[in-house]
Amino acid sequence: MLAVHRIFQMIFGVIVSVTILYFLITYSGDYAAVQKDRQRGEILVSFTHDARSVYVTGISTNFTHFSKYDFSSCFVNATQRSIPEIICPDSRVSGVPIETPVIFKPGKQVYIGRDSLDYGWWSFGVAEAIPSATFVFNPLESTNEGWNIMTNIVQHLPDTSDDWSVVKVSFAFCDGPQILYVCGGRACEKSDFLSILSSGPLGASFSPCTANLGKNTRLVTISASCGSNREVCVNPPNSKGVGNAFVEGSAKTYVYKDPLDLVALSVGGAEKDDFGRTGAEKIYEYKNSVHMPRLSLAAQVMSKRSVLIAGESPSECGPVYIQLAQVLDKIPSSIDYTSVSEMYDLNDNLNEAKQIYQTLLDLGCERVEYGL
Amino acid sequence: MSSEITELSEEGGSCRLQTAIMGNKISQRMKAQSSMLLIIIVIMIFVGLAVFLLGLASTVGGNEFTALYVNNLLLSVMRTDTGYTDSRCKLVSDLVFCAYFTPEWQCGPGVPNCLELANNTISNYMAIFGNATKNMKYLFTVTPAFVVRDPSGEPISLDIGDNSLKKSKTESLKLYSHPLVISKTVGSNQYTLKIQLIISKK
Amino acid sequence: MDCKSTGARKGQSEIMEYILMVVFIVAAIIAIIIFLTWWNLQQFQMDTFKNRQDRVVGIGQYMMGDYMFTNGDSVFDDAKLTAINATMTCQELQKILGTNWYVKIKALDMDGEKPCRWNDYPDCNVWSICAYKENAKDRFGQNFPVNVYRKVSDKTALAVLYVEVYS
Repeated sequence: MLAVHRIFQMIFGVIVSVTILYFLITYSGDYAAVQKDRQRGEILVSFTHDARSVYVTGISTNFTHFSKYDFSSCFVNATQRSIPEIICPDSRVSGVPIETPVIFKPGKQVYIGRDSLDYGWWSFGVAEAIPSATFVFNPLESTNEGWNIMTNIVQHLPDTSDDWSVVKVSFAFCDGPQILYVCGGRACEKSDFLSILSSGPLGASFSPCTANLGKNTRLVTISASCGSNREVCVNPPNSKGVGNAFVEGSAKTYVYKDPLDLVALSVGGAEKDDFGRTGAEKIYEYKNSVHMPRLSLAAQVMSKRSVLIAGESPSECGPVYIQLAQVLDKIPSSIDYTSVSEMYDLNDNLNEAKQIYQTLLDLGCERVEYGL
Repeated sequence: MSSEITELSEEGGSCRLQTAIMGNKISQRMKAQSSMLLIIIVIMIFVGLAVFLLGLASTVGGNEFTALYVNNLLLSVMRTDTGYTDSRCKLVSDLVFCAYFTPEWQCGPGVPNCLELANNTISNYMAIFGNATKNMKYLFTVTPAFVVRDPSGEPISLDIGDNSLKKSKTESLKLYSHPLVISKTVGSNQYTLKIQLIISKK
Repeated sequence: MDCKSTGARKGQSEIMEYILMVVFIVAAIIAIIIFLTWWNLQQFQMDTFKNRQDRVVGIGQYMMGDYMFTNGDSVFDDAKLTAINATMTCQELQKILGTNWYVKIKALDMDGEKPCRWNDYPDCNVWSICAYKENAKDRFGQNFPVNVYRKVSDKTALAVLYVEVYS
């Protein structure tokens, strides 16, 4: 027969244990959820640091922390009023600011590299954060313009041939039902593919691609008539370097004027999110939302600078600086990147400004290097 | 336990009872002692964990800024114009090259030689920078790309600044820059030097 | 009678010992919860400091790398900086770098501080971007060593970039 105090011990023990366990489990549950969100936030902040570091130093890196949780819904969103933010609609953690311009496609592991558009008098730098992918090109017409489009896109994508990189960006062709791996039966690295492209059009035309595309494959069709093409389709540009591009499942026409527009569309892809927006559309709009305002501001600054120093410069330099200022003044303060005619004018002015700046360099009015 | 005691007392014999009681007391004391020991061990584990976590709490957040600061300082000083037009003395980095390879070279008439001028110029710039921000101890260490050693095995380097920073371990905050590699062509030869900056609070 | 009362006392002391153990354990668990809460608060404070330092470093690095301000690699161009002051309002730069910050660049090749406005160029050495707010709270600022390239004299001077954020 159990003594009374033993029974008391047992009952008291059970009550206390249940109470303690209840509070511990509730607290742990809340704590674990908070910590999980915190970790997601830390990963996104860490990504912004790495992107900034690559943007400043130019030293590429791999970012592998995205594999811990699901970040597939994340994208960088530019707003009119303030710094762009990384938005993740499927998560409670969203709205992490990132002032570094970055072309970002989420993946378990991404390669972060630096790229730039060189205008001579200014350079637009951008970080590119891209997961492993094979870019498959399908040029339906064998023309120099088509080949130039491919060359431009490949030149502005990262070179992942380093041994340390776990992320691989590779390139291939597609002809009808077949994907053509033209580098010894495998997809090509950037430098090898550029060598192949540099030899010019292959002569024969390709058939529209009907091959089975894997999850990490990005198809880019180059054709003068983009009908119901898969993924991304690009019309050859006109003489001013401006052309149209189309994305599968989207009725919009995307105007491109520089290689980064095409990179943004190719990297983004045709996959739609829950709101019906394609990855290509999101990255294209973000890229132009950060690029165009910076271009306008830089043009204004450079124009004023040219006027300021024209009077302080040697006699052969002054008039050239004034000429540069006049051309840069034609670049509007608010650029509509969806208007073909505005993009014609913009490219005209940019090309002219680049030539004038080259003249300044040739005359010795501007230094080529400012380092050691 | 109490039923055992009742049985013993009923069986009779105070001696047995007393022994039993003594045994009970001893075993109870031992049980109490082991419980106390257990509690103390548990408390010590928690205190140890708290100390460990507190140790982790000391901030390491300044790393990105401090690395940027010291590397930028080295680069900025090396890129600064000295005011002299002689090609061997135009920038501070030129002066450092001159001080290492041709220390007796004079940058102009009536001007001290490269070695003295390098010391004075860098000292002057670090003082100006210190006045604008925060004064600090500094040491620029210059070594060739292929390490040259003296008879005692120490690498031959040109040191500009506070030599004690090289070996001292008493500074609370000592920052090292990445080595800056500079190549210059002097005559028909190309030379490469590695320059590193060490700074510390004054 | 004695044995029964002794037995009862022993039973009571066992219960007391048991309750004491439970009290200790509950106290230890509450102490852990309080400690974790305090720890999270500490982390939050550290995060606040880190966030502000991170923002300062971000603004500083962005300016050091953008060709609108520099000629590349932390070499600011004095003519570009003067042009920025003449051209841009703070709002336009805030669209790129956010709000609540202030930047001052001072070239150290001149004594004193001479603000650079259009008519003072090139005999000036201080450029301020976005006005300094006197009554701002929670200021946090850092200095960065940089260079300023003097376009007219074709010389590179040592300079300080000061970046400050506030609430």
